[in-house]
Amino acid sequence: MKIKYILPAVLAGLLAACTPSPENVGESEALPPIYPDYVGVTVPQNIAPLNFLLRDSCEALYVTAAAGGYEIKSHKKGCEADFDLLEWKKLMEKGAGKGITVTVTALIGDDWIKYKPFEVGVSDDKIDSYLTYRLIEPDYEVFSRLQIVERNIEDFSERVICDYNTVGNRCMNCHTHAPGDGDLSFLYVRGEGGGMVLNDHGKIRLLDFKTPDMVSGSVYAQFDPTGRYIVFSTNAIIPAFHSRPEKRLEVFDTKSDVYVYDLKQDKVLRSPLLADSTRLETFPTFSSDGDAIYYCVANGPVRPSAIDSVHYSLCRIGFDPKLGKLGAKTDTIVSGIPGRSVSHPRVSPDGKRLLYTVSDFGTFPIWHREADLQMIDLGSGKIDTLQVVNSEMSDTYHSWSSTGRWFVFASKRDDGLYGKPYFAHVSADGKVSKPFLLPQKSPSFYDDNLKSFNVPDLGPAAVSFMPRDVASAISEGK
Amino acid sequence: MTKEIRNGDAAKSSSLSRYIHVGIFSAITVILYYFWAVPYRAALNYREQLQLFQTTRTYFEDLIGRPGGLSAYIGEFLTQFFNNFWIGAAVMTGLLLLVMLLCYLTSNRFAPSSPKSTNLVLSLTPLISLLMFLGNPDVTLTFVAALSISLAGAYLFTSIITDHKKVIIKYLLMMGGTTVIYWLTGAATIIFTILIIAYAFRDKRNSIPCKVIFALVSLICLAANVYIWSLFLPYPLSYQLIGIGYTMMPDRLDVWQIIVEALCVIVPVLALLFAKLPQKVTIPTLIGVEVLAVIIFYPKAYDEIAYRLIDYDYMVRANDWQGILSYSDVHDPELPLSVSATNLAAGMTGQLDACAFNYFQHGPEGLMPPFAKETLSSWTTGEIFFQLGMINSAQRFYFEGMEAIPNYNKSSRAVKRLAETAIIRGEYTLAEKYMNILKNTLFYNKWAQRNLDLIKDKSSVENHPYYGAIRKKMIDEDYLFSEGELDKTLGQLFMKDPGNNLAKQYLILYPLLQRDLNKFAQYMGVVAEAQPNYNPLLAQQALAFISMKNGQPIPQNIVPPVVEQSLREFARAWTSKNPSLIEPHRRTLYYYLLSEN
Repeated sequence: MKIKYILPAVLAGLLAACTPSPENVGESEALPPIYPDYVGVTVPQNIAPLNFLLRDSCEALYVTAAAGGYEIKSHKKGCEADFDLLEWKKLMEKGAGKGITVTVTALIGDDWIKYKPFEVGVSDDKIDSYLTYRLIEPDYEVFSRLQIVERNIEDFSERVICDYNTVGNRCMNCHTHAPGDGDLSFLYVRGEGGGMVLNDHGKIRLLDFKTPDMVSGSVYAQFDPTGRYIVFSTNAIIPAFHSRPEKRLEVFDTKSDVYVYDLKQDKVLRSPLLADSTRLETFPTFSSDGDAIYYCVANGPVRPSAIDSVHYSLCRIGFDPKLGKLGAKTDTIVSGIPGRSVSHPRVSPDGKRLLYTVSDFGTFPIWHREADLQMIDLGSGKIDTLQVVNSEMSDTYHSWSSTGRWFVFASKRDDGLYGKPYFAHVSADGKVSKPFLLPQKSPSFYDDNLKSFNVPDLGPAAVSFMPRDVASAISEGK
Repeated sequence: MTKEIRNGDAAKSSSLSRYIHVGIFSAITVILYYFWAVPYRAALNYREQLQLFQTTRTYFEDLIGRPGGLSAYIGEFLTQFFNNFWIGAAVMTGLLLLVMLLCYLTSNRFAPSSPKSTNLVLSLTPLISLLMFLGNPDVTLTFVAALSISLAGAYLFTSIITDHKKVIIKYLLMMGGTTVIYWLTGAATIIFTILIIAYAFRDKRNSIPCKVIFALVSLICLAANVYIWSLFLPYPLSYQLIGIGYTMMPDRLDVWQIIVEALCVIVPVLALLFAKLPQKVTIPTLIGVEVLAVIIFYPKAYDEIAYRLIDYDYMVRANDWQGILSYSDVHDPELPLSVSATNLAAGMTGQLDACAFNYFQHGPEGLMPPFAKETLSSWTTGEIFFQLGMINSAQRFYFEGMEAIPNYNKSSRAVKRLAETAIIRGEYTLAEKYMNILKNTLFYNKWAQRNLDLIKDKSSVENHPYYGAIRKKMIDEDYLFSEGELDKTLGQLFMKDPGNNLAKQYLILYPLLQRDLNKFAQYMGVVAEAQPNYNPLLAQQALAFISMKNGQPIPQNIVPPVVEQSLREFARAWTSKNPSLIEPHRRTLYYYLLSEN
């Protein structure tokens, strides 16, 4: 056997020999205080290893994860547990449709303590493999070092798809996949000469469909199921700052309208019902079959001193994708009332459910601690308040996996400020499971990280463009 | 016998020369140390606060994956010592001397027969140019570290190559050296490349075509490194060519950077030329040129106005209120940052309601400047809000100031303040996050641990003399912040806590700076209701002025005779319209009230 094979084995052996092994283990009835909290969550079988750390001053950690007679372990000094990727994949196969049992034994002081084992449900339903998000400091007005990143959630690989260095430290946001198509997407690069950058399977171009009567360029947008249409809102956005310690930033619109852009004919479709100067229409999204648009609407005008009286309702308008025509009437699905202002509607790919955010008032739930997700059954109209999903901090910016069995959302539950991507499973009958945090290779990653994961969006495939492609499209204005 | 005498003379001469060298080196060391430890200590603080160096593996990995990454790591590692200016000055001096020493050693390699004294004086030239470059406070130690590594690489190469006559080894060393040094230093590799080319041309063993080929291959090797890295890096090519992280402005090339790099290359070549000239000519000439260069370039390199702002910022950070007032007594504050810092210092020492107009004033913006996307002014304004008890605004301004750092670094100073604002606001989990990050630093570690222990017991925060006191000042009511109505906020702060002396002084000064006497009377009424005995000089002067303006008698029970007398003297001077009579009253409330109307 060659030295290159022997040396790592010897080193690993030496390291293992240096790590204390459990002996005279005491039992605890308590669940282990782990972070991220994976106790009782449901995960897809194609998720990366759920590495975690123990929030205790332990000297060493011995962790086993078992399913169907197969067991893997992490045995290390310190408080972190991480698993081998290949072993983990095999464990997930064994546990698919059932679950795995995780047992944590920790050396605390001079004593080994075995915590109560916990279960992690493993769903047969796979999740889209790719997650894109913007990394941003939870800023007020000044921003820097923005990046849009694509993460393969089956392992820990990630790559930057839009970078501040290549676009002159400009604002960028909202990378959004077309339904079911990982490589048809758009993102925004803001500022002079910027706009919506369309990725059509690797072909990058800058879209310019702003007309003089629009209050701004497009702000919130979504593809239709065919990828031909993009419905978008234009918003005049005002930031303001609170005086109370539990609040920080308020962002509100003074004007907003909704339009549809036809990519095939390079034409903007309009309806007076969606561009009423006395009302604020925003957050549009297509239904799963593309024959309707859901959006939010509130009555104007908005005065900063009375921002807490602005409540958005969830509405619906018909759309004929063949003729490219908007409907003649609108329906209210969920009324905006004090304590319930609706934002960010997203229809599930199977068309059965609609997920949205509610906050006390206004239009920017990521800065509202009380912001929660809710889900309406579009058939029965029954609203699920998703208590198992929501936290005391902001939970919003959600998007569906193309399988319709998972959704991702940004939650500030950990520290109240930094948004992180959580995933929740939705069963065929609409039952939602306890969400789990995107696993990282280093379990302490989130502790050291000073960025929010903004507007996470799931896609079934990797996008095929690079940061320099976006920079070229911007610099060439095409 | 004669030979022995000659040898003895040579030994004495050599010994004398060594003493002279040590003497010159010591003198330079003392000058450099004094320079950074005394007049330019604030520049050290400025650099230290614009980074958040952490001793973690991920921090190292983040930096090392780019050309010049190790230089950036070394530069930031050393910059953290600027937190203490005595240590910081020693670090800065050591680095500058290292550059000088490397230039000296390289010169000796190029011209071993040249007098050492000449080479020593010559090597002062890059040092002086580097000192001028460092006059730009945005230049980082990354550049100095990169320069040192590149020079050391060239010295090493020229030392090794002498013993290896095989061409293949020379080429392998050149290619390997270029690749490694480009990874370690980035753009400063050009110094290494040019020096080894120059050294090759100096070697008489090789033919001219061989030397030209070596030069071309060396340059191609450097270009290839740049190109290959550009394929993987998200940076524009210009960043790589300037040097990533050499200054805080990633896209700007300072002419002094070119001069420093050029001199590092030219000096060893000059040593070769000067070897043939007599020391009596070269040394005085060189010293003369160097002194002249310092006299000409120093004032431009160390811009007085920019450094005053850096001085103010340093004192604001240290809460050295008396220092600010003493500084303002000498250097009249005229820029928004210096005016607002002076007003804050006067307020914190309880003198603002008496001496505000001893200094230049330019309206209420001098109390609480509007937001500007600039780091130092944001932090100064943030400090004003912090001391007033407007914690949300303080948090915002410190955060915005950090985000406005031109090279997108995080800031030790800002993160520490954000942790404090989070503690005061009761956001303990967030405070814990910030303090756990600060625990990864050398100079904030103990502070972070102390505060992590503190927040374990929430009641200890409430009763804490620092955090608790500021928390009590915070306004209970929620409203949206308006820069145009800050006086209303000051009123609310005073109503919430009448013991908030800073808010009280700002409240009565605010309308005076607006030249709104009616509003002043209204605000003074609010203050007098809570504190009937409060009768500061500014209030006396304002009341006397209002009475005189309205043709009413000046109330003797409130306005002392000396104030009335000063007003009457001002009135006589003002009505005379004689500038020489008015001039002595320029720094008074009366002059301010009338001058713009």
